[in-house]
Amino acid sequence: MTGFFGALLEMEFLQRALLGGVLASVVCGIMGTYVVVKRIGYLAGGIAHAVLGGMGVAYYLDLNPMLGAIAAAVVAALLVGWVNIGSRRNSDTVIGALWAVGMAIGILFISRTPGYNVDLMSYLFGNILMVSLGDLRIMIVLDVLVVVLVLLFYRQLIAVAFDQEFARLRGVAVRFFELLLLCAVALTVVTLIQVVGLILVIALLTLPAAIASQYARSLAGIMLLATLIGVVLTVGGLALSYDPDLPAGATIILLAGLLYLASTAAKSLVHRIRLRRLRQGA
Amino acid sequence: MTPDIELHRVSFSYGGPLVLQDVTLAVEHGEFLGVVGPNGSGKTTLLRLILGLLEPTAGRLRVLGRAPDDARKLVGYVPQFASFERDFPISVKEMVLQGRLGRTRLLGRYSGADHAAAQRAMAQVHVEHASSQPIGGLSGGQVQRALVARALVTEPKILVLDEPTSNIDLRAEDNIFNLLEQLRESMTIVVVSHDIGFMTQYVSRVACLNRTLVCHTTSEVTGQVVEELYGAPVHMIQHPHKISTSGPIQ
Repeated sequence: MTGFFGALLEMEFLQRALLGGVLASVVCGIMGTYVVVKRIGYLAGGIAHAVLGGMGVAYYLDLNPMLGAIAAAVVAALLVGWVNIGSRRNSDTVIGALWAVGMAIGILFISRTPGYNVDLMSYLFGNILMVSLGDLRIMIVLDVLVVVLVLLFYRQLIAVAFDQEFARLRGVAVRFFELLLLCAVALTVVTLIQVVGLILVIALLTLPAAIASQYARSLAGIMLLATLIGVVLTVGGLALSYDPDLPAGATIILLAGLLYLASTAAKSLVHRIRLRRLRQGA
Repeated sequence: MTPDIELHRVSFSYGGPLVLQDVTLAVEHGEFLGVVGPNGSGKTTLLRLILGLLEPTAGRLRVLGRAPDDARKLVGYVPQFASFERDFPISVKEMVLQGRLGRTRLLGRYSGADHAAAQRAMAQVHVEHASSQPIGGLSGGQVQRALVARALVTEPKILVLDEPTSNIDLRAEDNIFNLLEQLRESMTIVVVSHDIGFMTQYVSRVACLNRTLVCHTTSEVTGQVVEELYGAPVHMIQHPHKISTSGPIQ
């Protein structure tokens, strides 16, 4: 750990990694909260995996894979949103199909590109230590986009997440905001992929918000707390993984899982003690 | 004067058999109409038509003299509990403020006027003390009253309630209807409920629905009417009938 903080002052790649982690934490705190209260974790997972399709195509065409990821994520979000709204049926099947088909497209294109093995692993499991300045710039743009969006439309997004029908009756453009929300989730997923890769994304998206929702009572409170938890997890994961040279993404996720477990256990323990006191009092 | 809500031979189907058939009904300004009927009788469908969430398959429907979509902003809606998650992290005030969404600015935060309106509405239904509490911590009756407050901040001319008493105990039920009785001085009210016995003490008129309008009466709902409506003898508890002021339906 101490080695990490010493190296942080000297190594530019560590500073970039740290900045990437913080940038990812901000959007994961904000959008993760929506994902948790709206219970669309599976949907977000589908978008995350479908993103490989876009990355594969971009890689094949020798473009920045992150741009391909953004395009694929937005297309996937709009597709799922359109199916969800149009039919009102459970969109499980569509999400599952998108999930697998997106990955299949990605694998096919990557296999057609010479020398693919190295990059595939970093797409799937992330490689925050390799994050480039260009990637960071894109992450900053995505962060600003998501934050501005939520600041402008916070009320509408809550209303749509809470009670769609009432929102619609009040003249809120429910379909538009639903799609906007899914697009923001998609952009968040792309940001998080830089840190933990597309397979582990779903944990980083949901766990900080899930932990925060055990303590904060308002949506904005959960967002703030989840962002802080995200920062602690990404910085902590980076620091822990540095000396023993462990994969940073996996370490961050493991830390998130442990924190969630500990928090849930502590909560239920407190609850039990309270109940016992109440019974003894009565 | 044109009625606030006017249905002329309205029928509706979700694609299969008719859910509503040939319903003709006029609700005058200031009326307090109770719509009763068994499950699947088309009560909620009737409300959704009035709100403009559905379009009639046949017939004509006007709300405040306009198409229901256009009148929507003047109709306050109190949904059933089932339409949202009780553990959603939202305070009573935040929920009530959502009623201002159609009237306030598009971007940013709620205005001072919005907050004032929410405060007034919460005071009117006596939930102002719970203003900053999350809705998950409230009793069923409190949530119901908060939902009425959310409908009131829209400054409605018509208030529409879907099963407002289905999740609360008898005392809270009494409170809700007392509240509605006060509100009827300033607006037209339509309440849908399967709970005939209790509601008929308060409303000015009852419409009994079972696909068609079986009856509409200002007099006491008798056991015979109920039997006709539900298609089976129903155990009914006698209750004092308080008001019957409005004239018969045309």
